[in-house]
Amino acid sequence: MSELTAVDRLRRLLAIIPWVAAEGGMSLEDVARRFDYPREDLLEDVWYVVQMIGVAPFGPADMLEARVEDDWVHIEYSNWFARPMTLRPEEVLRLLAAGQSVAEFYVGDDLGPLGRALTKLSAMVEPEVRDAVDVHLGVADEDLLEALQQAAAERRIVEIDYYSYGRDQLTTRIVEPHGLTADIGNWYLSAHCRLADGPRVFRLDRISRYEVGDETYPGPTVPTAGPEGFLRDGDYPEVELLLDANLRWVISQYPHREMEEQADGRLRIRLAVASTAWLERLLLRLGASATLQEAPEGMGEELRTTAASRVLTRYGC
Amino acid sequence: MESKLKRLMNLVTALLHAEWPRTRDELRAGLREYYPDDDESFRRQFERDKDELRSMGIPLVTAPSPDYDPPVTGYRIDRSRYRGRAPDLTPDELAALHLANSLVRLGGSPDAGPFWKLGGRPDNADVAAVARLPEEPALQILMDAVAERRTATFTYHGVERVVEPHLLAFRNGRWHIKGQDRTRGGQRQFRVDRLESEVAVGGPSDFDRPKRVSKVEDRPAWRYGDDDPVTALLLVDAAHAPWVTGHLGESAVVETMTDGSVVVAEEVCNREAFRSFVLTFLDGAEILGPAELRDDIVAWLRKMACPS
Repeated sequence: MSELTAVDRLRRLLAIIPWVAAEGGMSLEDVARRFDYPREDLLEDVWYVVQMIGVAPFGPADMLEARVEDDWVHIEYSNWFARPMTLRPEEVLRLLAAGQSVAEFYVGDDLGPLGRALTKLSAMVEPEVRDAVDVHLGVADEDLLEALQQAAAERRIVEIDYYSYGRDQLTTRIVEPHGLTADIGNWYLSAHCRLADGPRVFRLDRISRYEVGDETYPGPTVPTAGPEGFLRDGDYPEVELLLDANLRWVISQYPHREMEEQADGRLRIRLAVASTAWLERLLLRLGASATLQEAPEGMGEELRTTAASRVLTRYGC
Repeated sequence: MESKLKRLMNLVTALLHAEWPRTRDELRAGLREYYPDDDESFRRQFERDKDELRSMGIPLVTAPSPDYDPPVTGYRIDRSRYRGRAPDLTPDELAALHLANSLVRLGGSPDAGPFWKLGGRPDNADVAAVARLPEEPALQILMDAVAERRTATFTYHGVERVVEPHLLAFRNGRWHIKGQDRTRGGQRQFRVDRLESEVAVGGPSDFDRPKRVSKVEDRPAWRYGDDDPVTALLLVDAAHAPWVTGHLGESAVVETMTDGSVVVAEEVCNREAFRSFVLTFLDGAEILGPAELRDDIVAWLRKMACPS
């Protein structure tokens, strides 16, 4: 049974009919691949649907003609669908935003075919629309971004001074850079870290110094993951908190597993804990009115008390 | 499923074929085998079909049919808007655009729909996304509103506002919408993740876009607020100094110590937000002044250090 809904199929058919007709037929393989149309669905729809399309009184001259012969799709007499449906302004804007984002991390001045495609797309909408979306992927030092991209391309090692937010520690380490990712406002480097002897992800704005070395390294044997999905798949301990609804703004910045609003308006929330320093920060920011409902050994009330006391020593208390 | 697909395809065809608006009953007469016989069921089904076509972006227009007096509502697809212009991309341009669309995720998985309209997905290898922007349910409708100059109505800070959206910007990990606020007057910017209602849009070409729209500013949260502004001095340890300097800008730094730590000066209009920011450094930062902010953070921490 097909997984496509009737509307999924409608969108595909409306796209396919003009193109197949204009090209005087197209191979079944080609249609299936280019329009993400599973072969079985496509065959069924050409034979049983496209053949049945027309206008009243549905005489032979009022119908589309469609057939599949030797794995070749033919569609004729499709004058209602002489040209494909145009892109909606919103679709143009979305593509322009994606192109603009790529331009931001592309090393080099000439965007080549992408640049030409964006110019043609811009011409489809009102001139001002092309400036109506403005994407800035994240705070990153452009020199650093470019140096790391180049090092990854040339497989050169890089020495970095890195502040680990999770551990609250500054370290110097040598990494084999594999790739860069911009995720929800920050840039990340995926690399093999020689200090940790394993794959690690580094946030670019926490690299305070870098030096690209001459030594090269062999390619990674296992592809490294980007930051996407971190914390969601990992096996992390969990805590459960109960907090006032007005603290929602603090919690909105943290990925949480469950959130439930209680009858009294307070929020019950479960979070995966990345590290103790991470939890300390969260608890201190939430303050005494947030209560810990459930926490593994060493992550409960005593962690909060100790962390608060430690920060207080800075203030001579 | 098959009969629904046939019904919708034939409805689109009839609406494209129509030289002038066709009434519901005229359309029904041609599509009798696809619709229920019962009048009420037909009407409901027809309404659902219209909604479905509109949600796909098909320019379905409603106008009185010229054949009736008194007038009866008729429907057709505006062919010039349906077929519109095509960007006429060469294969390498199409491939580059498709690659860009796969590298950048504007929330969710990339939509192949636009590429089908452009002649089908080019044969690129699957690539992992390089950039991911957060999923915002309102983003699509806001893009529509910006592109077609439709007003957007939504609740923000407890107030329902009608906004002429001029600019959608992605800054510091968040989408912002900027435009003329008809309710409160003036140019304002809103965080898309803080919209408190769904977005309703008005008709197309409802306002003139200004020649120049100033950029979206993404100021830290403690600079927005109703507290009496004070200038806070914050001492930040060497380990965090490069980050804080990069984040707040060189101009915020008033002193650099020999050990590499820095003192930054920040105007604070929201004390709660500033305290929250300072605590992210744990014991790696200290508010030097003014005394009221220092006292506030000490009192806040004491409640946790000595519970009961």
